[in-house]
Amino acid sequence: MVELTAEPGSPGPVAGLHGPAPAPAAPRPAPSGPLQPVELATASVLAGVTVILVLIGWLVPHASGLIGFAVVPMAVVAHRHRPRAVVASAVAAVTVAFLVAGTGPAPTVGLCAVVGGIAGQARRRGWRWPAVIASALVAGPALGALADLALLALGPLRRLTISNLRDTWDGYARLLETVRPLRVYVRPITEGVHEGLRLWWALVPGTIVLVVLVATWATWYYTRGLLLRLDRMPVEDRLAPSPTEEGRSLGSGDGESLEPPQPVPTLLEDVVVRYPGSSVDALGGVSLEVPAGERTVVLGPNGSGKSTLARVLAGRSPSSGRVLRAGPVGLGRPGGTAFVSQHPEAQVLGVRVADDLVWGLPARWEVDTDVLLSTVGLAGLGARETSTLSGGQLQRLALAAALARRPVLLVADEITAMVDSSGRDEIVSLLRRLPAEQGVSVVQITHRLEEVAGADRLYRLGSGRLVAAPLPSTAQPSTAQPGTTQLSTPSCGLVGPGSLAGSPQFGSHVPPGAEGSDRPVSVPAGPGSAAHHGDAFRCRRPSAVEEILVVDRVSHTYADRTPWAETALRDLSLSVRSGEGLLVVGDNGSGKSTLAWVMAGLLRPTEGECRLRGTPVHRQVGSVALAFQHARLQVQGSTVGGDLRAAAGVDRAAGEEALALLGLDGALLWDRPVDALSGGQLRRVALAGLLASAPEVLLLDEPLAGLDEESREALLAALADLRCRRGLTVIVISHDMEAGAVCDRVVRLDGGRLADEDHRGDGANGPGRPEASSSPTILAAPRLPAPPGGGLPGAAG
Amino acid sequence: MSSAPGAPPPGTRERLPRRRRRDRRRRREIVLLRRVEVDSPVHRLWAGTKLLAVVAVSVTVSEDPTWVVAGVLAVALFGVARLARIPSGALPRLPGWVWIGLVVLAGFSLASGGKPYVELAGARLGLGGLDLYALILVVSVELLAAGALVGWTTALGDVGPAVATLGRPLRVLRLPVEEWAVAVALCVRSLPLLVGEVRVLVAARRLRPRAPHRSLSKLAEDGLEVLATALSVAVRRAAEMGEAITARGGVGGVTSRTDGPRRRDAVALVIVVIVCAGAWLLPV
Repeated sequence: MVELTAEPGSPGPVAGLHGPAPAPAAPRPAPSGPLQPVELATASVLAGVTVILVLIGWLVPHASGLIGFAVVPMAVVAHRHRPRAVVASAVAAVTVAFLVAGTGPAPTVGLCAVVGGIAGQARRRGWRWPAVIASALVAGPALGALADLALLALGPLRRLTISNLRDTWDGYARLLETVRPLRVYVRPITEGVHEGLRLWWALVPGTIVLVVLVATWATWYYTRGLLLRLDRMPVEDRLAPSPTEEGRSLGSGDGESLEPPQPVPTLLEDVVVRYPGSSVDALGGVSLEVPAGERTVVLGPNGSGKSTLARVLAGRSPSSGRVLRAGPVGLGRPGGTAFVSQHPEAQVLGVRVADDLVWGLPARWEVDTDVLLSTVGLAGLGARETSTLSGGQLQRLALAAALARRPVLLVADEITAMVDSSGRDEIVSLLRRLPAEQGVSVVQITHRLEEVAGADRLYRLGSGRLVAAPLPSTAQPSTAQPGTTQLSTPSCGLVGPGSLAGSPQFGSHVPPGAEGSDRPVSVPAGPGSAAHHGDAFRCRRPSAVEEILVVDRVSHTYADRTPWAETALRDLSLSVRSGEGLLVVGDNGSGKSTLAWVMAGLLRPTEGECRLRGTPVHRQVGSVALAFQHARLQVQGSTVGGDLRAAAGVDRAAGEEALALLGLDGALLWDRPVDALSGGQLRRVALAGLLASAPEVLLLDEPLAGLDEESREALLAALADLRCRRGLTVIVISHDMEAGAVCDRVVRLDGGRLADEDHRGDGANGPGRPEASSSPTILAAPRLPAPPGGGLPGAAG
Repeated sequence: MSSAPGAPPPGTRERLPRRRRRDRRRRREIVLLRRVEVDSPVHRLWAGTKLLAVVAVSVTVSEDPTWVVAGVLAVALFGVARLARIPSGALPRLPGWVWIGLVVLAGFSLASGGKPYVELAGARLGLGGLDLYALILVVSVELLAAGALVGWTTALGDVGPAVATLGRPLRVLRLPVEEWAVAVALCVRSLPLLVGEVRVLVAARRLRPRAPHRSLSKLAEDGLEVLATALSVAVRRAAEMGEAITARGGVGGVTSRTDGPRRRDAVALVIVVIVCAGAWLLPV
């Protein structure tokens, strides 16, 4: 407390500190008034799903059944949230459908919204079938009357359409009647059609009533399990402040009437956070201090509670303990607290870069877009659509949007986790400069030791507690290179990638059998397990000479021959030998994901082709397995076992064996719901599903992204095992070299070409290590965190 | 149509390698919802003006669907497309079955006969049905084109705010128009992400071995399974998005920073009204 009041800039005496009472244990009352952020987001995102389903159903004739499924997202909105959210969702879906595809699908979307809305509400309120039928019988006629009104208003066009329909049928009937035996049947039908067209005002609403009735009942009946399953997913706004913290309601924009925010200094006293429905504390009694004008680093592995800590600092109320601040936290308010999280895509809300910067800001707040964008290295991109930005660019944009608020406190939660290494360095150096240049207090939360350098204050977190007293400040000037500090030195002991980068063989074919065994492996001395794993991951098996997968002069242009054409691959040739381990590295946007899709046969390139054992891959989809980065999309069952059965058509024994191959306990996981798996487990379950159907080649897109050290280690070990013992050909596609340990050849993609081919013979490169000097990815590799098991000083205990 | 300098991509057609022509029949990607990135007077108009223009065109053809109106509007739409420098490559390419279907329907319409009649190679043909059919077809294409022109010339980020401004009168009824505009904007923002996810979902499904027998109920069951996955991902995404909104301090000023209608919008609307009313009033 004494420290706090002594801090410069602290506005007043101790009495001015806010110590919100611990949040009540009772669940929050159902919200009223304007939509809460989660409600609004759910309404919007699920409206998007509805639009996509309806549009695919409209555009692809054999997928028209999808329209039937389009009611389900709306049912989910209605099941989870208030009717107000359903209305917003319906309006958004109809508007966007109209914008995308005109007046055709828009009414269909509206119908889906009504049907889904009723069914979801019925499930939410536990209605039985008579109530469902009754409400459908209210909504159906209402919609029918609406349709009649619209058709009346469109009088002339309606008359024209009806006579055209009649003519078309008459013409068809006349053709049918030339077949004499059919004549008897055609006449009455023709009369029926004429009568129906005359009675359009009854026929159209009648059809609508029937459709609404049947669809509502079917949706209510068949989506029960699905809604319950989704409901069990622990989804909550982990940032939402408690009602007592700040009375500012969403959308009112009257934050000005409140006290000015003053989030630093902050003092946490024995803070405990337990999420609803969880039996363990995410944070188990943490006390720490965030002073003004300093860069505080919180270091900890995934699952250590550091994201929760970040959210407490950003205003979430703890379950118990006290958070003392100099004033209101002012999350997202000008001059308050800014929060940036690790998911680049999720936190960018604007459609264009400049929109995103001002999203949520009061109208009067001046923002110099150009200066902000150049601060984060996005100069000149103000008019770009955010959906065209790479992950690194999105993360920088999120940072710029945070800085647009001129915050006093910036909480950065793992913001470099999804960014490639060059982007990571820039972001970290920006964070280092902020306290001095703009007077912003920075709390940087990370699992990467090398980002610690230059921190004013360091806390280390493990299993929801501070694991050691704060290390003495590293006391490095903020310009210090990560590699020069004592702390980061051990992380240079990167086994696979480091050695690959230094090897003159980088980027070229490794003669089979020649390099695999006697490659110089720069293993740091010491008891760390890194050396052990380095050997374990490296396969000593000589690769076969046979070329199994050949990429033959492949070029691919998305949206070819339209104004939006975008070339991803340019005349790329590559061959992979049976049993080989190949690492394809490239920065965001280098075409590596496109290459993965082409190699798996999922995408037919505009030119050239990719062959597996001489046959084009696109004719044998499934022979080359592709593990997507977003593993959740690949595990499509409700339970692990169900997914494996569906994925490979195998029985339980085979499925458990596949799980065991990946180091998972099949017996334990078999019945577990997919949504209860961790990220690392999910990725390995997806892999097990692929392996169970015995592919010839295994492709992995960013297999290590977003995984914690333990999961990385397990996954790398499993891959090494598959390669060495089973002779599986493994191709890893990644933006960094971390997975290099299981590969014996590296190629680099740049702008849709193989970079080593581009740079070969380029006189600008220095002698000795031409590839390394032309490749920032490789240069940065030694600064990546240690491979699994690489010892952190003091962290082992 | 795309001869305007600077229209991307310059000379796509000329530079097509001969080899590629072989692949003409290959399925094409359908590109929806994308702006053609050129500068033009149409691009510079406020999004709300263009939406109003679409409404005006729709009302006109609905209330007076004649060849005169269709003709005037066809000329007007073509002119706008020229003015907006929309290259012909932006037009969606329809799959073959659509064309076949259209021709078959035309055949039925022709068979139905009706005034006027013509003599062709000794046979007496009634063109009335075909005439009606063609008119309906042209009107439908015009309605689609009007919508497409908005998509090709408008940044989607401008749509949400425009909806909010246009819907302002509804606030008298105490309807949360601002909230809806935010929902529209967020929906537009999440659409490309969702499309990407659907692509991966479908691709992951294709990688799996096919079940030997696929009854309708099995298909529906499979569909629900995939849908559940998609929804689980979407709900998670929504939670992240909600957190991001909270991190921005709520929705505050999402619609505050829009350039509303200007003088050129008034001019454009006057032209639209004159064209529509003129087409309507023209003697048939």
